[in-house]
Amino acid sequence: MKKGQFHESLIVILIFTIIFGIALFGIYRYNLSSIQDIQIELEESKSLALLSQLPVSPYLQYSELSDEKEMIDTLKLLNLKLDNLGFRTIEIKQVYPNVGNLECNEENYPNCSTYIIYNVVKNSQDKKITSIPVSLYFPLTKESKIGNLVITTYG
Amino acid sequence: MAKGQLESLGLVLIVLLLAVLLIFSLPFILKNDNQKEDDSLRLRADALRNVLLQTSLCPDANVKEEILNCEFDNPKCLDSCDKLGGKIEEMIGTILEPNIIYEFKVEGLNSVKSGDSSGCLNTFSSASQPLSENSKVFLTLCEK
Repeated sequence: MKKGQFHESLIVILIFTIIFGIALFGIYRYNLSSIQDIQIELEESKSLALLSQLPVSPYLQYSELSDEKEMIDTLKLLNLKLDNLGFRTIEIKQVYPNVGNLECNEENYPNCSTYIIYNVVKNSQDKKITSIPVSLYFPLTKESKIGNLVITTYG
Repeated sequence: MAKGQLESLGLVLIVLLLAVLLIFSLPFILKNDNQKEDDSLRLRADALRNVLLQTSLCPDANVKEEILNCEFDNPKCLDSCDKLGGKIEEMIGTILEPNIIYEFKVEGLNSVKSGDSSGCLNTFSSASQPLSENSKVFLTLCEK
């Protein structure tokens, strides 16, 4: 092999190595972002599952003489604190009739609107809010009102 | 075949191979996955129908009972059954976002209709709920 040809071959090998290295790095970054996307998707699926499970959970559901109704017992919400649900805020807001925007406690019940039953916040700009309408039952007045179960998921 | 022609043929084969790979991978790259949003809307349609029917209109009756009362033109909570559609519209207005179109329909002796989903391309309907022998309730949602 002539000296010039040897040098040319070295340069070609070097260029291909650099291109191969850049391609490997690109694949690594793509895989990393795919894993993060899968994690976000998993958290969103968990929130969707919670939306369908929570209203019929015994912690929230109203029942009368063992007959379970499809309503949330607002008296149960006053002292309820859930746990182990990841980085989320779960609140139930009365929307009809409208009673303003006041967090509920034993002193102002039932003249309040918001029951916060889980609140573990993560400092993140990624937030996804999902909600579902629920019936709120007030056992003391035997009335049923419209509420919204709102789940904020932090990415 | 001359040496240069062989190399050119090789390059053409590589380009063809890359083009075929791209064509097969395009459907996967361009796939728009709205499955979660669709599931959420379907869930909301069922939930909203149940919630509306259970909501108290007055101490004597909820929406479901008032719909049944209106079959015999005998409302307990409202001055007249004509106002029932407006009341339901008011309730739905407090819960749905402005970008969601709805249609609430009671088919029966004294039918009630609120909202209009005729312009929707992709609708999500709750299961119909029979209230009596003669009436059924439907709720349909779609995104603008």
